[in-house]
Amino acid sequence: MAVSLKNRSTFFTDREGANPRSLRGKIDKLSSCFLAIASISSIFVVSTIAALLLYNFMKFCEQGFLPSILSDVWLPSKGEYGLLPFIAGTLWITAVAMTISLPLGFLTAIFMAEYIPRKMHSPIKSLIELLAGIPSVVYGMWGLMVLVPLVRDQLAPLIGGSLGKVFPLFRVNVNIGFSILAAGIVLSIMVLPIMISTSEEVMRAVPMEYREAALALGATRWQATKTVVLRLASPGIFAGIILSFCRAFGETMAVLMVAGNVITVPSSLFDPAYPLTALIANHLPEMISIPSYAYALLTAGFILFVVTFSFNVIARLVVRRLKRMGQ
Amino acid sequence: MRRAMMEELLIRLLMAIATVVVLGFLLVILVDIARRGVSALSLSMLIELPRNAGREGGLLNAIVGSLYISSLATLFSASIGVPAGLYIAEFEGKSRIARAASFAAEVLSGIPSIVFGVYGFIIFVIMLNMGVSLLAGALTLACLELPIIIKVTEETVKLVPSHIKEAALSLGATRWEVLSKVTIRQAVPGIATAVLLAFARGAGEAAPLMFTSGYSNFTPSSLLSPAANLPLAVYYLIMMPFPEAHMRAYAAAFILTIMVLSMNWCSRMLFKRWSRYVVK
Amino acid sequence: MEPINQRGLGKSGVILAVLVVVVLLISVTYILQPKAVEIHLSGSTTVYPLATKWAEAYMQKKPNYKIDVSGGGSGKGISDVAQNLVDIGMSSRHLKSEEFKKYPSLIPIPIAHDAVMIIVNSKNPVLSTLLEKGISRDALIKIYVEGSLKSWEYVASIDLDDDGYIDYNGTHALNPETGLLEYMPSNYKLSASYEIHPITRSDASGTAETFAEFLGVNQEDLKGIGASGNPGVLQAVASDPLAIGYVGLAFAFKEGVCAMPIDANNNGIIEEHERVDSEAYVASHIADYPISRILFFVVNGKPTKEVADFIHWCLTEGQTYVSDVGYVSLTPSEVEDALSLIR
Repeated sequence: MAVSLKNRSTFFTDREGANPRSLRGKIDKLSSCFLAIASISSIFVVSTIAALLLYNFMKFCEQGFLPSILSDVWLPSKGEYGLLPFIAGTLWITAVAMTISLPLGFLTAIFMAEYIPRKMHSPIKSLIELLAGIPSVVYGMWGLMVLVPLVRDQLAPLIGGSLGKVFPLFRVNVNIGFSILAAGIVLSIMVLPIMISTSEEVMRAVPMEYREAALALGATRWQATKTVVLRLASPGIFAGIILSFCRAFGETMAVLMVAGNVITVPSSLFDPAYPLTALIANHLPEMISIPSYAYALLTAGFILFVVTFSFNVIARLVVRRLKRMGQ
Repeated sequence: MRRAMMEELLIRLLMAIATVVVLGFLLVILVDIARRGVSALSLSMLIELPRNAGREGGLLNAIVGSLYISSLATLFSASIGVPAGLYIAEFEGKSRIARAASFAAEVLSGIPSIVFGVYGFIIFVIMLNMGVSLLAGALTLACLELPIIIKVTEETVKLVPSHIKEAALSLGATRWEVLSKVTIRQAVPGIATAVLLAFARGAGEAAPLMFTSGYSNFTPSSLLSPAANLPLAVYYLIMMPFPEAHMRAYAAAFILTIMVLSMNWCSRMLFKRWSRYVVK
Repeated sequence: MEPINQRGLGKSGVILAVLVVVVLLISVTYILQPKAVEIHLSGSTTVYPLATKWAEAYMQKKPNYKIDVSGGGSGKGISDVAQNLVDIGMSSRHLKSEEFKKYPSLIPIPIAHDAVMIIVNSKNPVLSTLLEKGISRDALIKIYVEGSLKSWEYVASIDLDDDGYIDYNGTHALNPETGLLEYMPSNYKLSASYEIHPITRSDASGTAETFAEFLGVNQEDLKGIGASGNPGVLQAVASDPLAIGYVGLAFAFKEGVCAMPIDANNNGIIEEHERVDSEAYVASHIADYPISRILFFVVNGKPTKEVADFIHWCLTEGQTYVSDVGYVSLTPSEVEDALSLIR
């Protein structure tokens, strides 16, 4: 979708057009009411989701579980609801996904926006958008069938045997293939198209004159890109990074199938993990029977909501500020 | 100067590697799905119901269920989302509701899909007493699709050139008449794209439907019966330890991917074709 | 500028139209079908194969019935039936006292006997020793609850990697001469090819609860890699030579895995009742087997006539199918007791 232009609807503000008592006037008033009511739907849905999650979070705190939220002991039958293993799992996996997809996506976006030969642009862009359309279960299935054995049989012995002896990050504590690395790789592939298409669009929107000016001053292609295009496009690129982060943070199906679902705080790339989303997906039906379990699971949902919400808001604010600074 | 040249070469090399890796991922995944899926596909897979815990029979329950759930969900979300998008696009400067709704849609689009699943389970399945049903699943999915439709519609309508609207107004049209007779006509390709994109997105989701429309080995007989869908079929079948079940999982993944990708492609082609008739 | 009203459908439009027509046609065919009696079951993946067998047989007898069985674990089954989301909840464990208190109208109806079996991969490095000596309850606690036992060497008491010690975990090993566990120096390494990979259930499982009860704890205290459902555990153990897991009887004698005897009384000998030669053997000794249990259909209050008839059939004619699936049918007196619950 092209970058949308500002379209100030001032011509609708001081209407003395239709006579409010005529039929056309009445239709006019009614219809705008109807449209307003339809828009309220999105406000309604968001508020009810937020309210539901907040209510359960409050109940969770009421029951005194809040202090234990960062403990790593998850024993619901004994009233221990330590969410640390799950929060850590989500963070580790998201971090790996972003680490892989950021450089790859960024470089590909620059290539697509600045360097690519005209003829290759459209097919490659379509291919990348194709990647974006593949459902997450299919990625999960591929991860399960291809990536998990790859990690278990090739990557873990290789990396664990070499780097693993030096850095605890790469140590293989238990070699089952279901790991943060596998989940991170799958997530990074899912997130790449978002990074690439948002960055590329924003870079393309920078007018040619700026680039030409830099080139005329003797800069190489890369220098022109670096000093001009990236600086102007940085709000959009930043927004793209945030969007990718939110997507990776909130992904359920793919990580459910590939991360291992072991309740411990991970300490290495090859450790299995249990992201918050998988926790909710695995235990949601039982929560009805045990009320405090329900509060805990919905608190996990609340954390997911708050993080994605805040990042969205932060992205918007930063984009606005950067845009203003850029001008 | 040498340094600049070196930088340039280095960057070009890195970019080439990056692009090759990205495209490589894509091709590897697509080829893998195609290879496994095509070998597992057969006519009986498409028209039979599953038997024997996924070891025999076909995927009819999932295919029909997916079509039903996505169609219903897109119907719900489009009937509310398109008017909402129109309103936001036309009144963003003027109305607080429009700005709030736009922000709300933005927030909604970032919410993880499992949170929609929880929401749908508590509100539709339990509180509104629909039980685990096609209807509950469709409503949950509609909530998920809503922001997509609102945002794309909003963007499309904002692109309608103001001079046509002004021309209509100068002829004495009311706000509503301008909207319905002029703006919408210009926005149809974009709105159609929005609807198709939302449908494709909805068809690929599993997490919101796991607990709201559940799963069933039969095709849904009414709005209140549980319904299978292709993404969950892939998930459940691949988790079984039987190779026959895995085969069906590949077939389901293949069908699902083809369905979603062709919807995406259709929406883009349709947009291009119909845009020819739109005033720029 | 071409006139706006000459809008063709185009290729993509045609594909869309076809899709819409297909959806409409399917809707029409289903609306025109006669109304079927629907019974919904959900819950234990242990009971699942039995319930699907019964469902298929019953539907052949009564063609206008649609009996839909889905999994999710015993906890889900009990939750679902308590919320009236399904007609029958399948469970492979007893109801907990909290569940009875919260939902006093739940009625668990026994339907078959089952056993929780310990399985290992058929390519396990110490398979022959395991089949001979079995695994002790103590060792299972150390593997699954304490998480301290991490090597197959210790379970089989064999020094496989010839380092002079029988590995126990990353820091300790058994000295074969003294017979004591010693803290190892820093150059000692746990041999990765003899690591134990314990598989446990990530869903609310009756099998897991029963196994945990045998070890004296709850399901949540079990440490291991999470798999979903009995089939998931079977899959995980069958694909990893170093894995160990627990499943219901119907899943224990499948390809790729071997059932291990459990030395329940820790006396070092596998007695008559602890042997697991075959499914039939375990079935015949099920009452003595260390981890035996009952499988349940749980209903919420008095079931409707159709549901009650189905359950009645399962308890009577249906019992002949139980051994086909791998479980053990109820004795006639147990059947009588069960039937009285739904009368």
